[in-house]
Amino acid sequence: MVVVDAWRAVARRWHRNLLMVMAVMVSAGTAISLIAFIHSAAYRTATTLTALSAGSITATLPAVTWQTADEELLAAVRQFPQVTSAGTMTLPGDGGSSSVTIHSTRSTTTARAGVAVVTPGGIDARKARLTAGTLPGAADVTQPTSALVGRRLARELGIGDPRGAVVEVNGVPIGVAGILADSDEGSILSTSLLVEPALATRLGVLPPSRSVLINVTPGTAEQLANDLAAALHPRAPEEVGMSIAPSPRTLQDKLAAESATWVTVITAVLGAVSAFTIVTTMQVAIQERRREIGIRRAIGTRASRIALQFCCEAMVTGGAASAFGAALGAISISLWGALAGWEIVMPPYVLLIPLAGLLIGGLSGLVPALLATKIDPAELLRTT
Amino acid sequence: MAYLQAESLRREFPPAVVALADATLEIELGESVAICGRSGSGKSTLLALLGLLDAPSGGSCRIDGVATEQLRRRQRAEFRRTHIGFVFQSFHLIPHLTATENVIVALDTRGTRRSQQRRRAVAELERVGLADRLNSLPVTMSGGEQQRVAIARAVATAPPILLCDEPTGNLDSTTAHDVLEILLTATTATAVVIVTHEEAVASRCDRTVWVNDGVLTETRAE
Ligand SMILES: Nc1ncnc2c1ncn2[C@@H]1O[C@H](COP(=O)(O)OP(=O)(O)OP(=O)(O)O)[C@@H](O)[C@H]1O
Ligand SMILES: [Mg+2]
Repeated sequence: MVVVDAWRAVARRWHRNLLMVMAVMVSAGTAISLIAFIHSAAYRTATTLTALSAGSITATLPAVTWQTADEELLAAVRQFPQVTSAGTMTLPGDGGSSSVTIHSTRSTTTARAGVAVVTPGGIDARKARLTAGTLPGAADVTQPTSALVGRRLARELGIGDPRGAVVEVNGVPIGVAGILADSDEGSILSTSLLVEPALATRLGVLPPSRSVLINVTPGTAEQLANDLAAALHPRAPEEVGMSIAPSPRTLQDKLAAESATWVTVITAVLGAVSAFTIVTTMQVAIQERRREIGIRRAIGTRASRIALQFCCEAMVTGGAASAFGAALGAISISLWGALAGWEIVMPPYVLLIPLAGLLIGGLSGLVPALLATKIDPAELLRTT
Repeated sequence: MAYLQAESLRREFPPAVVALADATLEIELGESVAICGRSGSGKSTLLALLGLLDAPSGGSCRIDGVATEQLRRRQRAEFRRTHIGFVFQSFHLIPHLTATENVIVALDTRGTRRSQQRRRAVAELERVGLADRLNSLPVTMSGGEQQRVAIARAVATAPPILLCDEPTGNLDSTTAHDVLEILLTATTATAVVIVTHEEAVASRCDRTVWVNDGVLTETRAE
């Protein structure tokens, strides 16, 4: 009966509670939209990133493997039908490769740049492409004399046409075979000097570890990792580090977790604002309803039963308004998602929003409920 | 011993107001008593004490063998629930509830079974002639109708004591006459106390007592 009484008061006096209903609805709607937005953004970023790096593994091998040529090193790896392309691609920074001073003899410009130690197979696997010139010739392999220059580095050095261009790397003259642009997703190669392992050895810039890029059929990376490590370095597979592009799920969770603090803070503020409006509105309501409270007291209703009723009213209002507000918020953000072409992801915990509304309502209803019990029924004899 | 026995009831409002100085009064079940007196003489104060809405500063009030002046706040509520009905000058219906629901509030408080509540409320409202206003909200009803709902609410639980503070004060004389008729016929085995200014009302009661500056007398003071 308390609940029925509370429901009647809420339903029939709805216009008196409009402010509080609106405040709670807006809070719940904003909270759900915010949560959905952040999760959808994380999901979107995660899926995009994963699509770009889907099915690629970077294997990090110990320095001894530099003595082995790509062809030999990868022969076993290419046995796997899932492997689509592979090759050495040790980026500046991978394995701590050093940077060098490059001097262009033609334009007399000097720059510093990182060294990427790569093979044609690695360039192919990374989907980087030549914008001018050629790959270092086959003759180069035994007595390497030429390198590739990243597109931006080339611009910096004033090398437009690689033909006949010569650069001095740490004082050693090297021919420029071609200019290379990094893949669409990367940029580091565009600012690097690219040399084959043999040339890196000659220049004394061979990194202490060797990275090999292996592209596999999407979704097979996880299960292949161990076998590939064994194929690359049969003597000590455990020394091979295998780094697999993260799955969208873990990446999404990671991205969402980073914004969790903000979501918590904003949701807490919204909750506090709701609680505040509930307290004030209910306090006003109790002044308006002194007569009703007095009558119930005169009839013999216990003070605790009256307090309970007001708490129930606040809970019903808080719960209903937040459920309704959350539903409206969910619809709005989904509509917006449909228009903007975003897939909207909502974490299951948004279902707790009406529950939170119920709880906040009950808690903020406590103060006014206590006020209600203080009303003296003898007032009824004095008031009109 | 009388059903209700008030002995030297006194009510002071600190610091200096003595709203009721000395009220001694006996009322039997089935009896109706009019309380008359000038404005501010203490009539409503007496009614609040008899109805346990308030506690006396001194004296005693024995109802149904219980020394009510010794009851605590919560026990007074309990005692009101089982023994006392009220009818007020300004009706005091719960504004967002219909006529039937207003009566149900009293029945529910009194512990009437849920399944019986609506039937009982409707029966009471029919008894006061409101069969066609069962689902009306108070604002849509005339003063006479509202007061009849209030009477139905008060008598629905068959309290042994019915206390009325100027029940016809807000009504025109014809309506007042009808309402009083309903009030008195609805309460045959009940002790009815009616505070009133009107001779016409007082003359319909079994006897009249007078409050004069907080003191109760059986005769009119002048
Ligand atoms: N809560 C209170 N605090 C202080 N004084 C009070 C209080 N209630 C009543 N009084 C005073 O007590 C006296 C008696 O008041 P009461 O309401 O009993 O008069 P009444 O006979 O019912 O008058 P009326 O016919 O105008 O209703 C008045 O002087 C009033 O001002
Ligand atoms: Mg009065």
